[in-house]
Amino acid sequence: MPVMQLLDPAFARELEALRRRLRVRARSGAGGDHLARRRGGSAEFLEHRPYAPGDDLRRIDWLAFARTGEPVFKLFRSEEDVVVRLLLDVSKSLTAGEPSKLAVGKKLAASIAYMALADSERAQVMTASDGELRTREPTRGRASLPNILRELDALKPHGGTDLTAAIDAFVQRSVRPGMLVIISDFLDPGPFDQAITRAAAAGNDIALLQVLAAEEIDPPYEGDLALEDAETGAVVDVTVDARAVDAYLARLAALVTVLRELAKRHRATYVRVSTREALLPAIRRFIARSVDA
Amino acid sequence: MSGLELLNPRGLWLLTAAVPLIVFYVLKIKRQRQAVPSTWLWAAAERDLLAKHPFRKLIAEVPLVLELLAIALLTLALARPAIRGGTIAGDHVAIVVDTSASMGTASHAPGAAAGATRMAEARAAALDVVFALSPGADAILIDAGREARVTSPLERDVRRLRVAIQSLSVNDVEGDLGAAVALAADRLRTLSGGRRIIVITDGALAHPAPLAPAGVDTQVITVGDAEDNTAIVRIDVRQGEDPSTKREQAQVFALVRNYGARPVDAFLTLTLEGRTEPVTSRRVLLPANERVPVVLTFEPQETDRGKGIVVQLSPGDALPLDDVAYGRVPAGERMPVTLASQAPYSWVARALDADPKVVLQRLTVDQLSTVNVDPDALVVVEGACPDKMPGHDVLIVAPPVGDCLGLGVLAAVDQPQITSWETGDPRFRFLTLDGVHVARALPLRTEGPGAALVRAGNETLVADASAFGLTMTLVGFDPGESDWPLKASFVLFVRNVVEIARLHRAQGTVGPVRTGEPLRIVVPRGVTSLRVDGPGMAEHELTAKGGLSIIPSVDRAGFYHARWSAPHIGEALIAANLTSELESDVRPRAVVLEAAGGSASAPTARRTVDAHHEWATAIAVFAALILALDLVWLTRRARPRLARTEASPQRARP
Repeated sequence: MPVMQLLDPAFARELEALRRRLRVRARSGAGGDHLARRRGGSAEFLEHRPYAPGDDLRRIDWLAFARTGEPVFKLFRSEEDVVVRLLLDVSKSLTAGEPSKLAVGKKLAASIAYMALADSERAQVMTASDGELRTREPTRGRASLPNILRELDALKPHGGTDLTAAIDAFVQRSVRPGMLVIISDFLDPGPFDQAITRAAAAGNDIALLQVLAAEEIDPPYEGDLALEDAETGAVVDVTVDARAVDAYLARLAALVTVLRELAKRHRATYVRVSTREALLPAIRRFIARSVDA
Repeated sequence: MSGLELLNPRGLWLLTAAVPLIVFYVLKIKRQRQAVPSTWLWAAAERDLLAKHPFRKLIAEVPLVLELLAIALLTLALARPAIRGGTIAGDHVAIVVDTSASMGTASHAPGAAAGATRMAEARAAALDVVFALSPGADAILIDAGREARVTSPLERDVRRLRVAIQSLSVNDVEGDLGAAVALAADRLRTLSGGRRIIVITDGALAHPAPLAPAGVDTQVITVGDAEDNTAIVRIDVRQGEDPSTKREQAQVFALVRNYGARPVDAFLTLTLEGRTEPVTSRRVLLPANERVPVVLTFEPQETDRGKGIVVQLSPGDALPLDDVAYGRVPAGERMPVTLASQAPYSWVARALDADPKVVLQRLTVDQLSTVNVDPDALVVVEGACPDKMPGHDVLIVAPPVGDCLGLGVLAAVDQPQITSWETGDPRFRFLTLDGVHVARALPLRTEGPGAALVRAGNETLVADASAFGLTMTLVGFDPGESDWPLKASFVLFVRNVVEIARLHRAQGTVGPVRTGEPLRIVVPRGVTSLRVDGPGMAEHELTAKGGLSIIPSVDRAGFYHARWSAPHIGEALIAANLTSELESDVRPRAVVLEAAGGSASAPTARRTVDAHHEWATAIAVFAALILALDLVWLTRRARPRLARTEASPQRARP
């Protein structure tokens, strides 16, 4: 996939308008351009408070002390350096769909990376396959966008899905929390919800972007089929009729419910994207930090 | 044209094949492989369904529907649906109805009345043919018994044809369908317009040679079902001797055949004509499709001699006719011989007296016309040649000059030297005439080879004047005027003549008679008129000539009685039997037509008048097309269906 297809100019202009509304709830611990909720030492004044022993004398408002005779300590809004980590599932199951789920996932990752880099944040691309986590170095600034796009473009589907192992590996390796955007179909029988809970407990701002193919949302199959798993090659004999499709959809709805409840519990974002859906509304829902129904 | 009829309703059993087909569709499914991103949710969904229902729901899939339709059509084809009736093509139709004995087999066809026979079924089929004749068409009705017989000439009047058809009945004979078809073809050959032969038969033919319709369009209508049958296929009655008691006994040799596929436990019972109590009975185990010889013996009383014997096979079966066989109690071992002689001393009488199994009756020549003589007796006349002689076989010794028994008796010659004799003739068996000297003889004038038995140069000394069934011998010299009586050959000659007469007597008046064949009744030479009655035959008068009277053909098995009153009172009993292994085999066989370049199975329909109205072939072809379509459907390239439209309202999406 050419680089320009991941992020064409018109789409980039839309993202440019949206990027200012992106808010990250995580603390990285390092100073940066991103305004943090906690008070800190940036140049933006927040408020005064009485001096307390041990305070940094350089932050005493000497003009106020001259007028009032009381030492007053100046508080400034802290600015943190936030890392937006894009964990992209590249297992074989993402080859489905037209366009493929992986292509849509790449576009989502590129879009979020663009917004983060444009906001002077750091962005890091990670891939998960067969439980193995592969990470790239975080980059900053618009100049590093082409590198990220090339990295994303070069990704090929391989292996199976094991989100639990990948997320746990991420939690173990990450030194500072940040925003963790997980882009996957979440068609994983493993206990990935527990891994996500552990990632959230580590201070990460979680965003779950579920990419589903159209045939997964509305199965077009009918009759007696031997369904072959794209990842494992396992075969399941299914007689697809109305009842079977209803049972499948009930299972899919249960998976969606798990993801939604998980997002609500950890004040995370959950956006479900169909491969046939336009991408911008999904980006808007992501910016709005919504939880899809 | 009447409604649809199934010629083979048993074919409907094939419909049960739909049950395993549906079971296969429910339990064993050939699945199409489909790649999906993940089977995780599908597997879970399938578990959910299986937890509720062990069997999948039967879906009306295209292959299932096609296969069920094919089974239904094949079932229908196997049941051979046909539209009975219809119009028969042809301006001239010959209806040949098989009236052989096998047509008397009980019929169990659907709708047949109790006790109905194949003949009734054939009559109904023939009536259907008549009613289906096209307007203006005529039909000829031919009775295919032992001899083909035209029952109705070409006729357009349906009522007359119906009467003729109703008059058809089963004959107790072997049928000759080929002769009847040939007769039909011959009758139609000269007619212009469409010609057609319709043969109605049960297919159990005694003469399996291909029918030769001589190019005339021929259709065969079969009647009757396959039936098991047991039959007496041969019977022979002999006079014998009990090896243990050395007493005379009648021995009935019967050959019983079981045509069925299962063994039969049967009884063979012998009764005498006019009596109800059995004389003897024997249990016989008949293996499947095998013949078993059975011997019944009894000691007849003198009054039983010449009476009829009825051998009954029980229990009865589909064809009662061949369960009964008829015979005649043989005469006793002691042979009646009547000697009419004027001579005070007879060398012939002396030789006869020496035979303990001869009962000699001595008469004068004049008494031959007045005294009652046993009709089976050997009559020996010395010195005379009466015109009318009672008894059976005749030996004339030293006849007077003139005509005698159709031969000429010439003037006497002295010292004729015997030069040759017929050593192959049974009368000269085991003897030689070497050294026999004749002092004086009356040479005989013979005509034709073999008539001269003993020759003296060009002269004939002993001649044969036999007729059918009668052995008549002329000796042209008085044994007393030769040295022959002093030699053993004379006694042997007399004994041989007696033995021949005894053999004729044992066989009855005419030997074994089979139905369908001419019945030749041998009577004494002087009988010119006799009265005969028998089964299905009212008593009527027949003429006799030269000691022989002939009934052209007997169509019924049973006893035939012949009686005559002049010149002597006499009677004869003749037993006629079917005894046909081929005719008793009532299992239908394929009827073959003689076609150009070989033989071919005749177009056959069962109880239908026109094979063109049978739909089995067309339906079978249609079923094959459906199966081909099913094959195409099953082997087509799998094309996954496009995703349902987003506007699918019924589907609840997550």
